[in-house]
Amino acid sequence: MLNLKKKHRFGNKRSGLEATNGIEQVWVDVCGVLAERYLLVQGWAYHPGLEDVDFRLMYLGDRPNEDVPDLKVADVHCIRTTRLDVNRQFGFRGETRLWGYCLLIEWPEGVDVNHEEMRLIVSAGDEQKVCDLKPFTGLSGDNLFGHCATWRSEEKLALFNMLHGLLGDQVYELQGLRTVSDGEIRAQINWHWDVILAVPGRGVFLSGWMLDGERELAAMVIRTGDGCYSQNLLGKSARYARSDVLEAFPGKAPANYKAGFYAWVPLPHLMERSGLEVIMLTKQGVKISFPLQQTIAREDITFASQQVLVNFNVRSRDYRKVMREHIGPALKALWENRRALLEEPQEEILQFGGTVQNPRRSVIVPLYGRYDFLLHQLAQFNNDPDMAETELIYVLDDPRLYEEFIPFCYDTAQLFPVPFKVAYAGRNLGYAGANNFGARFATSDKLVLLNSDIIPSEPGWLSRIEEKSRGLEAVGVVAPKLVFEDGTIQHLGMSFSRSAEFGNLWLNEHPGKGKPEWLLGVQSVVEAPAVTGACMFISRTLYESVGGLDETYVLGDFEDSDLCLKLRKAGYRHYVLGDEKLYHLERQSQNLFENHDWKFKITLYNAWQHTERWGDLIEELVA
Amino acid sequence: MSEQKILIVSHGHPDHSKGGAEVAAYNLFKEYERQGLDTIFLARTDQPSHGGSAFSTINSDREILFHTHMSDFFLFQSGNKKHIWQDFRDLLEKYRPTVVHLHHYIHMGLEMIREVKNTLPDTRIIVTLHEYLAICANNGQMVKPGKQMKLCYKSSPTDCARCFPERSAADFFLREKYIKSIFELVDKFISPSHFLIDRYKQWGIPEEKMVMIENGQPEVKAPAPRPLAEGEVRGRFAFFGQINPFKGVDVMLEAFNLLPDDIKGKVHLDIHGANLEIQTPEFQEKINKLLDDLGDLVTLHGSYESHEIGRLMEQADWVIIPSVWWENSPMVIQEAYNHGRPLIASDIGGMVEKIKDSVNGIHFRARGATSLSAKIASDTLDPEFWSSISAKIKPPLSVSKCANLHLDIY
Repeated sequence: MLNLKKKHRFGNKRSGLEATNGIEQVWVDVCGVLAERYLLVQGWAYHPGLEDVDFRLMYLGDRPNEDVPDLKVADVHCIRTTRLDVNRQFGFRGETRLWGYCLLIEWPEGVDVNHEEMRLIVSAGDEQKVCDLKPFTGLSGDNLFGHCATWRSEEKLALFNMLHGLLGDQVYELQGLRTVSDGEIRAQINWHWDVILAVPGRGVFLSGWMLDGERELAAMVIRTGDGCYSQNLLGKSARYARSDVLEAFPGKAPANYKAGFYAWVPLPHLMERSGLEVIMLTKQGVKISFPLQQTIAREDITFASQQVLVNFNVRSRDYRKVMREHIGPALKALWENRRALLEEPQEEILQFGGTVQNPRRSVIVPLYGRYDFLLHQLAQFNNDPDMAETELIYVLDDPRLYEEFIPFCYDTAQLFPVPFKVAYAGRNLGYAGANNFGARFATSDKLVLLNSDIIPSEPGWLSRIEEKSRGLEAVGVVAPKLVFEDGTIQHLGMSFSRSAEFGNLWLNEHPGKGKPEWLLGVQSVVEAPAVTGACMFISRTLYESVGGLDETYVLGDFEDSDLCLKLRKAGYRHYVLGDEKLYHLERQSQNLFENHDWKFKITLYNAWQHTERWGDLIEELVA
Repeated sequence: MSEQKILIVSHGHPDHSKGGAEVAAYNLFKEYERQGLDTIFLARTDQPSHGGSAFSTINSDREILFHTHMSDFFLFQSGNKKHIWQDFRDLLEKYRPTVVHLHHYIHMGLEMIREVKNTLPDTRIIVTLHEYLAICANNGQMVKPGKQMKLCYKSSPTDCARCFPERSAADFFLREKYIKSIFELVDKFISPSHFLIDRYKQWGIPEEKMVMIENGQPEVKAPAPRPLAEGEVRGRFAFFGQINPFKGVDVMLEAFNLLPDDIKGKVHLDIHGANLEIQTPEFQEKINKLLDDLGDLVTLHGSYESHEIGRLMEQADWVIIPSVWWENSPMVIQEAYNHGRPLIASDIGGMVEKIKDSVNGIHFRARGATSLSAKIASDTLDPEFWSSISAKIKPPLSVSKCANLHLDIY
């Protein structure tokens, strides 16, 4: 079948110098039916004097019947290809030209095709050549690609892409695609998967390495047990340098080849126990498939998110694209999957000391990691008359502490007579979740979200801040000035700054942080684009109207500015009271931007989410 | 005055441990009893109690032992808070004291003070400060941890965190805030020295809340000066107290070692002190080496009972107090005065306040063995000089006068 074997059909051999300006010769190599739905016509046309020519099919007479397509209007897909064999035959010495053609046209299933009723028309300007076709025979995958041996690699890829564009994932299921042994394929292409993390209903995170130095592959997809295909991972993956792989396979790839590979593969219909396989298709039409043994993501996503993040380079140029296409969706899927798997929080409420009737405000304090702050806060609240009208709700957000914490509360309540509630959800809810959970049990309309490491500087702060908030215009959130233990500023309102280092993401800023107060000219009331969640005064109605703090930020970050921006968008404004001072003993570990471990990458992910959501509004606010 | 009901709280009973604070607290209690006042002595003990009860009695049914402990020496947290909010509360409710006078909170918990205010809001709360415990997490010594034992002049969260790298400045800030929140409940602080008052004032306790009352001494007849043989000098020196790195025994021994040989022949040092065996091996080795070097010049006597003090003082010409930390008002100063014996002391803190150089005693440069050695070798040994100094010793405050000063405050 290969045209190289049929040299005699080239007709008169001519020298390229004698070329005329017309279409000198046209040849039809193949007439085939592909996947019972497409007609494929391949061949060559020699036209050295013309830049380009058109190819189309037409009926010899009128359209034979209604069942067959109207070739005057039907789409004909055409690829022009290199035919070095034609060059040789005609002794053509000019620059490489595309003599080959490959036409594809849709044909109704089950309708016979008679080649004698059709002709191939090749035209350029006024000139036209009409050629006979050959009988259409069924094409197998093997002979489909087999005809392309004289094509260049990108032309074969174009054929694949055209087929994929028409057939979709059926292209992988074409009958008769050539297969080879594992050893044979690995002589050309090699790979290894370290992580195959399946998130049911969402997709797969695949990571490892892939060595295809000669770019033999046309496609690589994941196929689920029930026949769903992923997108082609070759164009949809993050690649990074793996010198160890290049060293292990010397000479297989250029030095700048990026063998490292990871990808988030969206598979929205992925079933929990679905068998998975990887299917690779080479440009030569060789199909390789092998099964994948996946790990299924569960509630505990610490390790899984580390696996997702480990090779993510936040310094690389394409880092935002990788974040958008792979890291972001993978983390989101893990997180959503976790939330879906977790049971509804339990509701355990313990009251210590008497209940405060008709409280004027509800103070919500999440506790995580360390609970001795409760003692320190109660020791200070104890001499504050405001506490008689305050509902104090501690949210224990750390199940590890429960057994020690409850007796501690009991003892502490006996010695420090400030009534308080403990709300316990039975599991860790995260900073936003814990506050939202606590707010559910608030019975007053005024909320104060307070961190456990905040210590008032003097009694009466609650009522004073409320008093000063009255009369402020369109009040959203009000926050006091916060200082470190040495009296330097910890918070005077938040702002946003673009990170030149991390792809222009917007990061939250605490202007003036660490400076002595006198240097900053602190005003009594100042508006801020956002305020810290460490101490927030907000009406409960307002809080609930925007759904409270957003729980989609991973491991707690950016929820406070997110809340402020939600409110800001709704027309509310935020204020900092410079005459009200509380101590905020912010711990050092929160500065994650100093080290580039996975937690830092999570922070960056949150920043990215936050920027995607609020970038435009932030730009307006800080302009 | 007669309607007062006085609960004295001490972190130990002198029958068990003879620290200055325990003795001072107990002396007060015995004096109130002698005056016919309604009083109870509550002393903390680490001994197990009968049937696991929080309380038991000792000597009489007015001397109650409190079997409790502390779990956290950073924040002075009770190790069994139920002891405070149940047992101690019950004691308060039953006895209903008008005054609770705590001589310490260590080993029991600062919550004791909180509990008095919770249960009996009108009861006066008096606290005697014995060290710099609230200010300094290094056992209240205001001496920096580490071999050099540098003297500390002022606390701050940042500085304190440098002394304790495992804790943050925020931890020290919280500690200070917490302790102050409890100290706010105290009506009056009593301190046996002005030096300590100054330190607490700097730390933030209002000056008007603090009163200086020296520890009272039992009224004894001061023994006559040690009779001297013909040509003998005033060369009998004595040290009373614990042998630990803070007390400067090593400085004192080095000083004796530095004396010229002819002086060495004329002097003798008696050390009345215990607990060398519980010190670090390094420290023990250092002391033992010095003792070996000095040979017969030094006699190590071990601990003594308080009733023996008169007899021991009688045999001494000079009492040395070489402490390398500030001290507050060390009992040995008042005891020496009570027995007509002058002191040679480090020139820092409470010692300088209580001993006037070349008037009723002698100062040497704290931690300076050479300085102490030079002082010993100078006119110290001269019997006439000794007479002129000892003649200026004023009898210390008696226990009964001390008690009356306290009653005025109650």
